[in-house]
Amino acid sequence: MQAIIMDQVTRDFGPTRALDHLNIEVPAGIVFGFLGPNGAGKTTTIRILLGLIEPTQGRAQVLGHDTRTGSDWIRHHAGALLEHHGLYERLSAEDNLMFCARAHGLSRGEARSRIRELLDGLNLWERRHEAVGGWSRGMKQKLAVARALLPRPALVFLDEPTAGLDPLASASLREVLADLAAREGVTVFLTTHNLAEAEKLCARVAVIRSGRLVAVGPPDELRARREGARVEVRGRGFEEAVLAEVARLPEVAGAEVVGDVLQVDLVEAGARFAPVVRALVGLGVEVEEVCRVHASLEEVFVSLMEETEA
Amino acid sequence: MNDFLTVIWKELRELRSLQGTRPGLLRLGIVVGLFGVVLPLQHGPAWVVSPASMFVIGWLALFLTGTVIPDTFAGERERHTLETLLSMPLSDRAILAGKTTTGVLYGWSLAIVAYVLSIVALSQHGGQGWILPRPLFAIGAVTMGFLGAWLSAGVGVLVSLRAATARQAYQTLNISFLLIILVPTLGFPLLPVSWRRAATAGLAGVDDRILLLVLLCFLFLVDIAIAFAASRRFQRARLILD
Repeated sequence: MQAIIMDQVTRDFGPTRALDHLNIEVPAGIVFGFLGPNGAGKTTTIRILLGLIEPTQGRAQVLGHDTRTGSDWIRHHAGALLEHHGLYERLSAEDNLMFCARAHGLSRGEARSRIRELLDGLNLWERRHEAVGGWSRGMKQKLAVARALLPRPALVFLDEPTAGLDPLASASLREVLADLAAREGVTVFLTTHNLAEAEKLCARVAVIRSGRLVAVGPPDELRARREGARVEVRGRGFEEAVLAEVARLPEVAGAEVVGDVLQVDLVEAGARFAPVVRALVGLGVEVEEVCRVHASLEEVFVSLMEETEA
Repeated sequence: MNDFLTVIWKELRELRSLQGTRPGLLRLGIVVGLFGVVLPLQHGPAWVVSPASMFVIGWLALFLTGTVIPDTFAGERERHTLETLLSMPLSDRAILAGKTTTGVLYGWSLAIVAYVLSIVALSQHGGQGWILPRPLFAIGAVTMGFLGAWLSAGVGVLVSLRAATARQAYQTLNISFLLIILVPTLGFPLLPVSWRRAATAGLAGVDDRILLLVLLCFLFLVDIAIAFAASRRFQRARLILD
């Protein structure tokens, strides 16, 4: 079953096209990463999926409901942590969560036990009466995540939940997210700039740029498309003339020396490297070690951005 | 109804956290004390028995509501809580009505407290029993207070929906009220003498109950029109994209 279906969704703001015929399907029960540079259209996508704004063309379905006609139902069954944490800083943590619980129609008893469960899980229960304005950014983000999960939503939107956090707080929040998402069994739609985070958390990712879908699939699959496209050669004798010769080989897209390592980009992931090694030896290079580089999601992302720019 | 009460619950909590501080309570104490004790004692029994008392209570409710209402949407926008509020499963009508009602309840209730306090202060000070307004004026004052608070809340919400910051909303609302007060005050003497005489003579001949009823009906209709305009202006997409 698909939690989200976006079919040719386009959104214009005056002359600017924020989303351009976007097609995405998000299976239920997974963490789905939505990646893209600033201004790619991530926040606009979430706003459309929550029914806060309408697409100019195309249609989107969330949990089987059209975002145009079923926005109230969607907001009732989806949690959201948007670009800003959106907490009422003058109110206590408990009041912030109670407001959300009341808005979702939870009974008083149900709300209290759910708030306790979530705050306990985040080690915030002892501080529930404090106004959240005095809290650190990490604690506020945790509380905002708790608010998004409070009504036990089937789907939760998290818009850059670790943005602006220090590495420790990010790691802690990631742990909380992974743990809560696994325990609650919800579908998580996560936008992030942190590709290592997406790699760790997401079962599938989509990459967009300028409102267009660039790639979609499991992180392993995206990495596999670039896997082996770069080879590193350790050794001695990487002179300018050698580099120029290597760059002329039909299997090679580019070569550069970083420290005592020659990095060779092949024209395609499956290209043979043996002719390159033969050529290097023939040019007098002392080859000590040759290995194919495993691409990270970040490298995949950067290369996708470069490809689309080209 | 649950949505409406939820919004009121949240707004009251926020108001309490803002006004419940020592400086907040002090400010409230000064305003209520000024209109409930100091000014009535200066002006004597006329403060509560004359028809002007209705306008004082109406103006006080309008003023007090105006101190909190501009924050409703502009403040949420400024503090980046508006989008989260709009992403909650609360109906448009409940959000708008809940915020407006909280502002009205705040201004109106404090104005009534000041009114009751003025009656008690004058009666105690005079030492000759209770000084009570005519029932017509008392009902008029309470109704005028409600309609004044509602007018302020309606205009304040409209201003707040458009303003980028709470400060901008406060400034715009103050200018609006200044115009509402200044235009008739400065405009009336500019009318031809014959018109002014006719208006004064015409009003003098009308039963004060009828006059009061017409005035309250006029205010009510203005309030309804402003509430309608606010509900037309309130659109989630527009608020987010603004």
